[in-house]
Amino acid sequence: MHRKFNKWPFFLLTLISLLLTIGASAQPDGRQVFKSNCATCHMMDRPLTGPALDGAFERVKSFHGFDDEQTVQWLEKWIRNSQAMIQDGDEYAVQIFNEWNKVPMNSFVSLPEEDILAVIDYIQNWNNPEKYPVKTAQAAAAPAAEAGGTSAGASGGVSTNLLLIILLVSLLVISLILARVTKVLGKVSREMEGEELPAERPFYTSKKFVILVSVVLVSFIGFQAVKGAVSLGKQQNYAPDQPIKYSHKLHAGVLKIDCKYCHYNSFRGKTASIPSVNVCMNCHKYVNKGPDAAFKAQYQLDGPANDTVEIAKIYAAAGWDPKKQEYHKDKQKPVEWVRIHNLPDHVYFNHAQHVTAGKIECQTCHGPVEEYEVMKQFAPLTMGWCITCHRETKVDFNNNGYYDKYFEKYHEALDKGEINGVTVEMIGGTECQKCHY
Amino acid sequence: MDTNKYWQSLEELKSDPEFERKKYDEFPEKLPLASLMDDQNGKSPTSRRDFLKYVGFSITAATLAASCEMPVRKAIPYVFAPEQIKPGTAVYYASTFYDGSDYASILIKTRDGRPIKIEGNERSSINKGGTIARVQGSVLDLYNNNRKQGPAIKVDPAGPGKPVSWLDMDKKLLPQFGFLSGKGKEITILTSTIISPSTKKLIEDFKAKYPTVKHVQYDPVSYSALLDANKASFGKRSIPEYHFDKATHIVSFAADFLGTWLAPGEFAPDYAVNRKPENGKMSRHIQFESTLSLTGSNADLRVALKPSDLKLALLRLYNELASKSGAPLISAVPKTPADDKIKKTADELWKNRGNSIVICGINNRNEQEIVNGINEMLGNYGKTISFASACNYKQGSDKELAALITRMKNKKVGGILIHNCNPLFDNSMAAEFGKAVKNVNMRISFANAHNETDAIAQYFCPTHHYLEAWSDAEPKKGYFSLGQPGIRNIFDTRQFEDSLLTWMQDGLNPADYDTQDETENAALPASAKSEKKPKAYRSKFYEYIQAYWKENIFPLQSKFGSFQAFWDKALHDGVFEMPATEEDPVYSGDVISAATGIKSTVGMRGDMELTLYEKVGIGNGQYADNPWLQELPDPITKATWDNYVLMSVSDAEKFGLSANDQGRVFEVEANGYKVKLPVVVQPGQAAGTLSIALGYGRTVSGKAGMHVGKNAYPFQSFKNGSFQNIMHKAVLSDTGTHYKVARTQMHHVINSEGKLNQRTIIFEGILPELEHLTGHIKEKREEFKKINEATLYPGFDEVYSRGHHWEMSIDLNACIGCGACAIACHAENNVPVVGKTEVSRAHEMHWMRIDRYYTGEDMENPDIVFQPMLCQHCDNAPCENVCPVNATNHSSEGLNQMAYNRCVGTRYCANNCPYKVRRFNWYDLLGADSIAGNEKPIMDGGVYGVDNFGSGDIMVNELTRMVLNPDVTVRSRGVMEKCSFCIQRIQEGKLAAKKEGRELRDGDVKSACMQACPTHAITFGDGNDPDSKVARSLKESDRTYYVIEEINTRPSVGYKAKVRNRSAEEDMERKKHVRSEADNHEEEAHS
Repeated sequence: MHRKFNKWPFFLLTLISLLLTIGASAQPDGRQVFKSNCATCHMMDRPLTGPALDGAFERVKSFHGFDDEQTVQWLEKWIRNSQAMIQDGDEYAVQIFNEWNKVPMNSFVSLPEEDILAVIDYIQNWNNPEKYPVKTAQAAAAPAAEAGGTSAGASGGVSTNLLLIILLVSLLVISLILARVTKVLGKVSREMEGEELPAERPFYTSKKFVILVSVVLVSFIGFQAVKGAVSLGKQQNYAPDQPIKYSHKLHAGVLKIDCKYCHYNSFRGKTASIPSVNVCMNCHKYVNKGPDAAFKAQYQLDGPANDTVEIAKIYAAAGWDPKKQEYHKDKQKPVEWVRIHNLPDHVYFNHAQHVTAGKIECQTCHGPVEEYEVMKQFAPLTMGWCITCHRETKVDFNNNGYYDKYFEKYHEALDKGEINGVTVEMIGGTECQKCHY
Repeated sequence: MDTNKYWQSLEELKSDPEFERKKYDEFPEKLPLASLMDDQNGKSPTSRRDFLKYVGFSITAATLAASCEMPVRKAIPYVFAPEQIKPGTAVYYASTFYDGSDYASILIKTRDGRPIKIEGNERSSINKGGTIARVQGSVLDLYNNNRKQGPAIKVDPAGPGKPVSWLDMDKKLLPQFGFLSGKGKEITILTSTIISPSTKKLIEDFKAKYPTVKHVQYDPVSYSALLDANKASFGKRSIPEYHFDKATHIVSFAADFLGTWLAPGEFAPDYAVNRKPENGKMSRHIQFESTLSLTGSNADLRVALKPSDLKLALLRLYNELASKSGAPLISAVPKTPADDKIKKTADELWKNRGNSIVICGINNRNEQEIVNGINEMLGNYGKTISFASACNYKQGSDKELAALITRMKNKKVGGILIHNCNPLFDNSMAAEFGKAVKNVNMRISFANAHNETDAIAQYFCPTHHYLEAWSDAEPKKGYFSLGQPGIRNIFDTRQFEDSLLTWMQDGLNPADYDTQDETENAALPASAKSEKKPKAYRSKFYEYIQAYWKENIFPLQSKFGSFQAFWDKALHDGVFEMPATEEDPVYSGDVISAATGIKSTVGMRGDMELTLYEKVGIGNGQYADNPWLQELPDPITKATWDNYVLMSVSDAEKFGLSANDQGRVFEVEANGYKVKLPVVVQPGQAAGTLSIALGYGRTVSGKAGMHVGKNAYPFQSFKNGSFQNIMHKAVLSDTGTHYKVARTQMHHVINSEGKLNQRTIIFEGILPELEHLTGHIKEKREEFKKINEATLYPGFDEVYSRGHHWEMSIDLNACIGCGACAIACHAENNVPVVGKTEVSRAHEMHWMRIDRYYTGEDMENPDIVFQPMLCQHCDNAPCENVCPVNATNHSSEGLNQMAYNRCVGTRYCANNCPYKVRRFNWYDLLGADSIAGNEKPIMDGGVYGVDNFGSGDIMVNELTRMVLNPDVTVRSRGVMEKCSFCIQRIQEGKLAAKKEGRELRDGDVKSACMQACPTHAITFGDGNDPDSKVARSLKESDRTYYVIEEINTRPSVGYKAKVRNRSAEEDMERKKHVRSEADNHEEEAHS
């Protein structure tokens, strides 16, 4: 009887929370929509290619004297096709267009209405932490560190290890002193008894000592050799100088440009693709100098303020003449980036597999890129690292139609609660020919 | 049935001790260690000190190499990325293959902008998604180092051409056309057959501009006689359409229609349609021939006759049928050894009037006219043979070539444009042509690779490779096909048609020579386009084709209202089919005079006769420079990298050759031409017949083709208006020397312990006793099940029942043994080429080989079974448990995996594989190592004292390596490899399904061999999906069996037993037939 009473509220609660989650997940996240569609040209708190969007809602409202609903309608129309509004002669629209050097805003004709509404909501409430809680980069990177295993564990362990070593060394010293003391005492007592003692030999000629020293030496050298051999070809934390001092911290961290905007092949192809210069030019046609000193200070960015040197390199590569605002095809020259993540030839790695099918966050393998001024290799990219993750990561088993057929056993076991998830390994993710062929 | 004795070579049949030894040794030669350590005196040439030196050096070198820093690698993205290129993802373009002899509608697989593989286009009703080996191999020619780099003009007649720019070339040539034309001098465009309607129209336009232009077409392996005979019989010089899918009876006189004759890519799939015994009936195929051909080896009944008898047999067949139909008989036809069979054939044909096809591969008008007469009597025209959609594959005329030579001799010709043919090599008049052409003032060659004709050309205007060019084709009337490029031209070449278009202009516009790339322009942002108008270099011929289609082809259909929509669809599909329905012409042939002609030629026959034939691999010699195709073992002789004289077993005995005398060099003389070639004794070769393959003996070519074999074209004679491939008199003389022909037939033999008949490698039967066969298979398989109840790995069945289980079904009845799968596997899986020397040491690397088994007692005419053999992916794999480092192991999807990076090269697995499908990398054959010294130049030659292969590598260079599939590891020296069931394709298919969140559909994953197979003999898929084609094919057919199932390897590849459509009596006769009888027949025939 007791049980029955206890169960019901739980069940109801679960049901309600479930419904809430479903309801919530159906609503697009304004921040997400903003990141993937708007962030390349707009920031909230400062102008970029386009105006700062903070207070945009109020500005429209007050200019036209709209109520909230009318403002939303106006903004929606503007986002869908601003050029049409300008041509229709909307006064405010024309004013903004002229203010911004007549650079037309991209039109989002096919963006779903709920996405647009979500963005408008985000514009109004972006700095309201209750609606849009602050996400930290560390939160995303945390699982990566766990999976990596190599860099983690050290910080917590150092002090204990040190203590242990100190303890051991002191014990050794004490025991050595004690041994010496007993030896000297014994010698003295025997001398006092009048025994004839042999001449004392220096300790380093003793057989025991020689053996001990050689064992220690051989073990040390062997250990170092094996350690060195294991790390051959590993390039963790490799951060070479790049031909253009591109800062992920500025673009992905501060400006919050979605990773997939530039690395647009990561979710559809084998390679994530280093962006071609035309992707840079989407924004840098208009953004022709780096952030100012105040901005740099605010976000703790390295490098000189108002820098034009690096952006000029993009223009040189694209053959872009910023004065005449035109491309010179014959002057184009691709940028030769230094490749950081190198896998051996016999490894097949596919980004789409992990990003689209596996729904893995970029940071899991690449670390908190949005904090890097200089890009570096975060993960060791060793086979052990791959395998560890494949053993631990659970597959999105119930939500991907691919797994519906042929895996009845696992579905049954899941339903019965015998297993709490299907890992990559369980569907063959650690077999040789999943990566080597 | 398995009571037959199966054998793969004469050595095996005679239990030659050398053969017996090789059967047991997976690796036929000893390790070279022995030579390093011992010499004859028992003293080692390598002293202890030397040994220590080597050890010391190796360790130091290894240390130095290992401690090197990681290299800095660059990643260079596009400046403006073209939209359609997704890095790391393959893009397919529908296109058209036509090389002057074979047509195929294809898909070009491109990775990051470079074509790496050819696939058949399933939308084409001609090749129906399949391809032949030469089509698969053609992609390698794109990256051939022998290609010409750009236009050149020869100043010194003996020296090479001096590179010039296209503008300079055109400045020089353009005025000459007008000048020559004005003087009334002929300008000849000499080509092989052209099936492009746009090119034909263009040549007409060119003629209109310069009225003295003449277009001469000839085909290296000629079909001129067939065309001329049709002109005589029907008043129409064209080749009809053959519907092998509609014919119940097929009788072929030496026409290798599955391998080389006319259009194997079209005939093979059609032929296979009626070869499924499950339907209760099969087509009946009877082949009369002298040389055992690919087609003959698939026939239900094959009759081996020497060429003269073959011709007479044709006449006798005519007479048999004429006596039934009441047509006038041919008088006084001598007897042939096969008269009884001809009579039976005639009865069968007569009973199935209107449902049969009779064809003949002899290039002589007389024979072809008789065949026309036979088909007319049988009422086949309009039914199985039809002129409604006549084929255009061959249009050449031997007579016109001869006439051209005469005109050139008489200095009537002022200019010659040579395109897509090699007249100084590929015909018997090559020498004469070479002399006569010197009388021509302007000699232009369009060849895109160096060839024999370079010697006489002055102006080199290299055309694009077909994968770089726009094209269209009309292989059969009303069947249109579009070809688009898969890559921008690699070298400074210009399409033949663009050259013609340029020379048709009144003047030159230097602005046209700005070769700005169209695709790059397309990727430019709108602002760049509008502000600076790029001088678009768009192939002018592209626009020409489009205009032609708009005017001539678009109006044929009514589905699309706008031309753009029609064009886009045609370009996307690759084909547009609107079969023409022309009325069949009326037959009015004169058989009697043709017969007289035949009788008179046969009357002059000698003891030995010579026939010339084409090999499946290199065709007419066009592909002699293609290492994949050179290394493809001939389906019948299993020889690579050579041509040779084929000789029958009885003739070999007459010349005193034992089985070990394979490769004895003889001098063959016929038609006033002599050549020294090694002999290959071939079961199935008709007694009294010698055969030599055409296309070998190239003297100007790339490294692979140069001096391989001997040229047989000069044997041909020009008689009766066509080049004759049969010489009725040939003289043989023994040189006493030997030459090693690299044959693979004795390599990788599945061991049977001398009891092949008791092992289940092959099951075969005959159609009337199909139930007996299936019953026998069932009985055997149940017996095996009992034997195999015990297993080493209990409990794995559950694992294999989860997820996918990849399986393959191969229908031995559909497999014709053509080798397209082997070449497709080369391209897909970066399988290296090893070269002749290594092949002869059994080091060939083919993952997929086609075993050819002989059966029957009659050495002059054994039955043949082809069996594609690849890794069987055994669930109880014997290779896996002997690997000391676990480099080969089993996946949960039933795949026998091979991890190259773990393999240490003990080769235990290969030794333990009962199917002999594992291959070891003795050298770094594709340049996988960074240490150049490990690379093996594949054509080192010299081993047999004949250093005729030049030196240097063929596959390991920057250009050729572009063909490699980036999804497949390039294996380095010292590792084992084998078929992976195209794991990269499996993974690609699964990923596509996962990304879309749907289940994997049957057909999403096709192995390369399955895709290439022209007869759809191979089915691949997920055996755990009960509805998949492969599961149904394996489970529902009673013919399914597994090779050596009794040893409990539990393979994943099932085979379907071979069934021949012949009566029990015929079958008995074939089995009993002994050689003495054949000899008797022969004597009768001669008397």
